[in-house]
Amino acid sequence: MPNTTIADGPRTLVLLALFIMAATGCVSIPGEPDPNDPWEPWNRSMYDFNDGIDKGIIAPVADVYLKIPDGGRTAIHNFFVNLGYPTTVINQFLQGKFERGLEDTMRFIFNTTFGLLGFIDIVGPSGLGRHNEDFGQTFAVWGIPQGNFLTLPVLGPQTVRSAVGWPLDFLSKPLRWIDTGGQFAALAGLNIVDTRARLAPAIRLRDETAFDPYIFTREAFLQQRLNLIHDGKPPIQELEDLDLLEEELLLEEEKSEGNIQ
Amino acid sequence: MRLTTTALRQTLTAVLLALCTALPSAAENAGAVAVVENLHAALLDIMQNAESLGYAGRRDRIAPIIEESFDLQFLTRFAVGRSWSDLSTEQRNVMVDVFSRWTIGHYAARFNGYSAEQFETISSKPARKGRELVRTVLKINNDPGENVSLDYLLQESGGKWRIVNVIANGVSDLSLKRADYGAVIKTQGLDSLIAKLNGQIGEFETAD
Repeated sequence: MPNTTIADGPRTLVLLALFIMAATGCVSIPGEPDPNDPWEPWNRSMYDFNDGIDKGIIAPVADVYLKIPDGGRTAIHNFFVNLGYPTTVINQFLQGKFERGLEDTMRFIFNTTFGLLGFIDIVGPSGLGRHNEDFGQTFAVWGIPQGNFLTLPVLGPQTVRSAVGWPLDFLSKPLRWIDTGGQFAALAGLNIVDTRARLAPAIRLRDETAFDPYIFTREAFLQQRLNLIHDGKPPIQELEDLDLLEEELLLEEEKSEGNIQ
Repeated sequence: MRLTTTALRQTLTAVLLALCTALPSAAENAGAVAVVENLHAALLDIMQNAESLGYAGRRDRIAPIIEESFDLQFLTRFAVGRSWSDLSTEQRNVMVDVFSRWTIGHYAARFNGYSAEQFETISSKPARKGRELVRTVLKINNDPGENVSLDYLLQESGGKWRIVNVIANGVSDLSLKRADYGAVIKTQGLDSLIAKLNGQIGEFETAD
């Protein structure tokens, strides 16, 4: 699972550009590459770097944040989810999901006004599910290949496609429009802590059960992106196909060797 | 006579209604759905009685349900991946045993409390190769935003439906295990994987 998803402004954009350059071949990366993860040595070092930031700073703050009563944390989370709707709506329209785009535009307007800046999700209890779209998903829907997996400092796990989409996501977020640097930093920080607190159960699961946390994170991230791109439906079929294809190959191997149980 | 006609009409209406409501569920695979719902009922049971049962009690209560619901041999073979064909029969048996104990222990460790969670079956539809995909949702805190989709892939063997994969919010549990186990086997060998799994089983017990 990703450790963090939000960074701290223009400086991060510059860093991001540098890292994409590195990732796309301007900088050579040593080590024997895994064909499914050619940039693994780089990714692992960035994973360790992010894990250090997480364990040293973000996780302890998130632990304190988790002491806030459920109602308060839900309101804060609703606020940030609501702030994400402009990005979602823009991408719904770009992907041709007009009905959902209109639905979520109304949701954003209602929650921002009657829901007091989004702290109350007044539309949610009606059963309308939450949607999550970004530019990386839009690029996928347009048929742009995902590129290699890469781990970026602070931003965490990405694909080349989602990393290229990230600056556009960032620019489309209302949080970005806040003029005062201090207010922006405070809200961005709170957003990171809220995200980390939400991910706490998944990170705990990883820490308790994964023998290689980097691989667990990579696989979970890639599958979750696939799930988001397909709005939670077709990936099951894709996963199943991939899984079972390999299993069948294995069975064939065994049959040919005559050692099947 | 009038009474009889009314009664007949009511009976026919009831039969028609029953048929209509039965039609969608007839398309479902009742055997596969029953396996998943039975598992969910057992999980709710250990969650609701988590404290009084303790870890050992939860493990003992869920063990027969897991053994019946999951195709543990298939899951082990798949999680081990390509190295499986290099293993001796004895090594395979050891691996199936440790993987089964780990799976049971993990369920007993994770489902250790109850906060009004609910499982709901959404649909059941045929998947490739005669398999069945049962879609369910785990409802948490009565907040649709927190729902976890749990999809189960089942296959039939020996007249019984058994789970061969669990996909939570689009993330395949088996794929994660295969990638993780594969990395350990590749760099440290099978014995190390077995030792690590046994170590985690011990941790599940002491963490309670």
